[in-house]
Amino acid sequence: MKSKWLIGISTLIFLFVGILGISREASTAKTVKVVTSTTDFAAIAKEIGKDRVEAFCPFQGYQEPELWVEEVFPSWMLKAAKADLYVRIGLMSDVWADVLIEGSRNRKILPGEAGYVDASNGIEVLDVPTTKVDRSQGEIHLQGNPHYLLDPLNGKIVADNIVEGLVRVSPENAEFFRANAADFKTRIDQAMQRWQEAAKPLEGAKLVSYHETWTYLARRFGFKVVGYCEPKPGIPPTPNDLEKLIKVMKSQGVKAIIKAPVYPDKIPNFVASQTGAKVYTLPAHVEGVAEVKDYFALFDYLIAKLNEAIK
Amino acid sequence: MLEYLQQPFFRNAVIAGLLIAGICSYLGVYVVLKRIVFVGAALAQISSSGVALALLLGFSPILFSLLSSLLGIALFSLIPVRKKIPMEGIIGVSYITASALGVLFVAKNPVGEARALNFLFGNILTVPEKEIVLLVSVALSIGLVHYLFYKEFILVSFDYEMAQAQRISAGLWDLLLYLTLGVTIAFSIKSAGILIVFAFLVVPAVTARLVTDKIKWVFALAILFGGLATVLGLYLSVIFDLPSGSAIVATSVGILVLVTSLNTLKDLPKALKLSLILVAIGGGLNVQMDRVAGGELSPETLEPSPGPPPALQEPLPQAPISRQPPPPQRTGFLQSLNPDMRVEVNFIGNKTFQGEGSGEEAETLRNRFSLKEVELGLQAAVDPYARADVFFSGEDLLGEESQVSLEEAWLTLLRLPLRAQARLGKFRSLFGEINDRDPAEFPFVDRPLVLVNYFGDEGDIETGVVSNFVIPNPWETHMLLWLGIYNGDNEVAFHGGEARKPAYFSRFEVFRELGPATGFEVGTAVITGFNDPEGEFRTTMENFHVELEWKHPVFSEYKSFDWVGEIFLSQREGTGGTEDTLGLYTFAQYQLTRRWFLSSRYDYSQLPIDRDSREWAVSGIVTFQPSRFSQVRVQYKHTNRNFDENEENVDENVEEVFFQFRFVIGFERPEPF
Repeated sequence: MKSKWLIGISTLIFLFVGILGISREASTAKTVKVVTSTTDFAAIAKEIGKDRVEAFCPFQGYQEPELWVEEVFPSWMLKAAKADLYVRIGLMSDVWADVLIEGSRNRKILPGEAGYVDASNGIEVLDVPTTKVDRSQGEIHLQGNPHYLLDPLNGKIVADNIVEGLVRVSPENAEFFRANAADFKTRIDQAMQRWQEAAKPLEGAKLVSYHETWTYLARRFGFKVVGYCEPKPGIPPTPNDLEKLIKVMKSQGVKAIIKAPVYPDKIPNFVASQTGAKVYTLPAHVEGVAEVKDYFALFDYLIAKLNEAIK
Repeated sequence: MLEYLQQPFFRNAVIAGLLIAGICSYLGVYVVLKRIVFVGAALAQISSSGVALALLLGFSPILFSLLSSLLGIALFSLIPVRKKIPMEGIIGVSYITASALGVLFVAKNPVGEARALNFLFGNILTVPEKEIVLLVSVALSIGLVHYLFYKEFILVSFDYEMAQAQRISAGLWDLLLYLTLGVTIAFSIKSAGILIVFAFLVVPAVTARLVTDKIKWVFALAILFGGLATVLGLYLSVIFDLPSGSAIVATSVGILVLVTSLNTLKDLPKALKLSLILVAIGGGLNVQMDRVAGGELSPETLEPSPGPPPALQEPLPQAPISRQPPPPQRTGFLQSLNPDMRVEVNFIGNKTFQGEGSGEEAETLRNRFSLKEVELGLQAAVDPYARADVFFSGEDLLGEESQVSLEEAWLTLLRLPLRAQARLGKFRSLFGEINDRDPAEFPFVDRPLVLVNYFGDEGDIETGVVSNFVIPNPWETHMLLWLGIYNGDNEVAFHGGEARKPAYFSRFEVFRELGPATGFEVGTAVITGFNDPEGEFRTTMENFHVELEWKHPVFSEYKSFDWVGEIFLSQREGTGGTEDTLGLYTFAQYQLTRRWFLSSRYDYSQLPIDRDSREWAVSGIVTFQPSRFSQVRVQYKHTNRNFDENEENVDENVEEVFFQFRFVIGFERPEPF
């Protein structure tokens, strides 16, 4: 009897809640809802879609989506349930997105559907393993380094992938999206001229990084990462590892350690104290720090800070 | 007919019509037999006036429809004036007042008299998918309430004095019945309009009553006649270009007339009469099918129905642009069509300083090392619609009773209607927060006392089907409802598969994100099944759980805090009566550094067969995690119990230390929170 009441009352509560939920007025604006794995994709989607796109990323700019490996929040699934487009990193670095998409029950954004975008399509991926891959190499990037958006020219390729996705799901806005994407790419080309001019002092400069975050940035702007605080991805250093790193830094005159916000200060600070170097926490994504509100501001900030680091 | 079902608007109309017909026809039996036909009409009119008011004020029509229905019910059920004024008088006044107010509100609506009238009178051909979801929710909910309380409703409806004599709260049950009626009317009116709703509340029940006196058959036939009227009426409305609502009502009345005519042939067996009815209807349909086959009638040759639904007026999408090609194969990517594979090893050592631990497994582990479990997991997509998970387990592989078996194997159906998903197969039941996890994945070495006592050393592993639904709500909060049927294979809680009577399961969970990387979940579950081979005695259990997981918003890999609490309630029937017992545990873990974790757990449990037998335990746990794929754990556990295996009253203390080494090789799929 008690269970019957429990079930019966629970059912009436569901009914009431469901009624309020369904009867709520839906957004009347015909915006394309985009959910992305990183804040960078959300920023580029907004550059292309302007006010006709609402972009949501489950993470903050200072977080690192590739490190989110265990649980997927159901609240993200709720957002994805209403999405018209999902943009993922790919390269098996956001495997949690499979669980998120599956849990959203949104058929539009399933792999292969019109609303699914793998932003890595067309990217020249660096650090692709060429030997047998296993966990003895740490949390290795199984299909290559996923931080490809830290090369502005890859931002153009990602924009192409996103605009094709937007056009698929909102063909009535195709002209608008394509025009904005073309404008975005033109602005990237224009900004590259000033970035390359500003980054000239970085040519050949030697830095140490906590993780393999800056590979694409280094390739584009000419600095070299000569060592890492992590001996292998995802594996904290032992004292031996730190000793070797300190030796490398001293022998090569490295004066700066760069790291993304998600990594701790303790180890870099220790190494810096032993080498006379300084530690710089740099955003790896849009909104990684308060000043970086868009994709262009990200590189303005990074190049300025890197120039400061090598002085 | 099948061709029309290809059209989304027609398909939606049929589905919505069947849902409304089903639930209204069912409730109509009560309306007719309780002689409250006019109540149905009055409630429908009151609900409509609420809708008109909502549209005038700019509020949600559904909400006002519901509220006004509830107001009407309160008026009819609770007003004391009924003692001086006959009920028919109150109903009549209410009907007239509501009608007049509805007209006034519509007249005063500056924005859209047409919209208001459309809302009031409905148009079943324009029902969107969202409303169908709503109607399904209503139908399921009302259906469940009536299934649960069928006996009570029947008693207060047809023998009120007997109900009062039995000291059943007849007034409250009557009110609940009216509530279900009011809610049904409120929601059905938006989709179908007053005419259809009122007709379904009366005509199918009257028709069924003409066929039989047996109440259960009256319900079934009422639903059948309502459904037939819907399908046939919609079909005829499209064929002959008639207003759909009127066509459905006319068809329903036509069935009534037919049955009445046949009823005059009293010597005929009732089954034959029913057959004649169905033949007549079927014959009519066949005639139409012939006309369609002959080309006289087809969706293309017919004039469009008046007022084509708005959905058909939207521009067709342009030719689809080719899909984004899959990324090229990368070197070093080993898996193609093979399933994702993982092997998990759980190695445990135990030192018991005093006493003996709980359960058979404790005896297996006591003062020895044990390769407790080696599990092989295979996971893969079957096709775009389903995913398979299979787990083989080898247990106690160093012991004398080692065994390798299929531990779990299930198929997850991903793309069901109403955005539901379902799991079929053999799996750890989702009763509670941790029962569905493999023990090696626990943040502690052993299983909480309450799970051992209520389900045994292996927890509750069942064979069955469970489905889940996301419950829409206005708070942007994830709410998930699970409903399932199991065999009742668990030997401790249920009959262990010896009876052919299933166990039923339900779970509801609410998740809220409290901040970046912080999640909070609260949930409840119920499971009920028989605990004896004959299926005479029932065990019912309830679970309430809470989980909070905080990670540092920036340094999420380095600082975290987890807290889980679960309460289990058990009501176990037996020859000596029902034993009400409870158990609980609470666990908290704090991450000191990237690799070090400190945690503790408190357990309390009564035995499900004897509430006076109880035990409690406190554990302190230290975990070292070299990487995400391996953990080393030391757990100290102090247990106190007041019973032993001879069920004598004792005061026994147990002191144990566990050592665990757990590692995983292969792919580890993330899970939902």
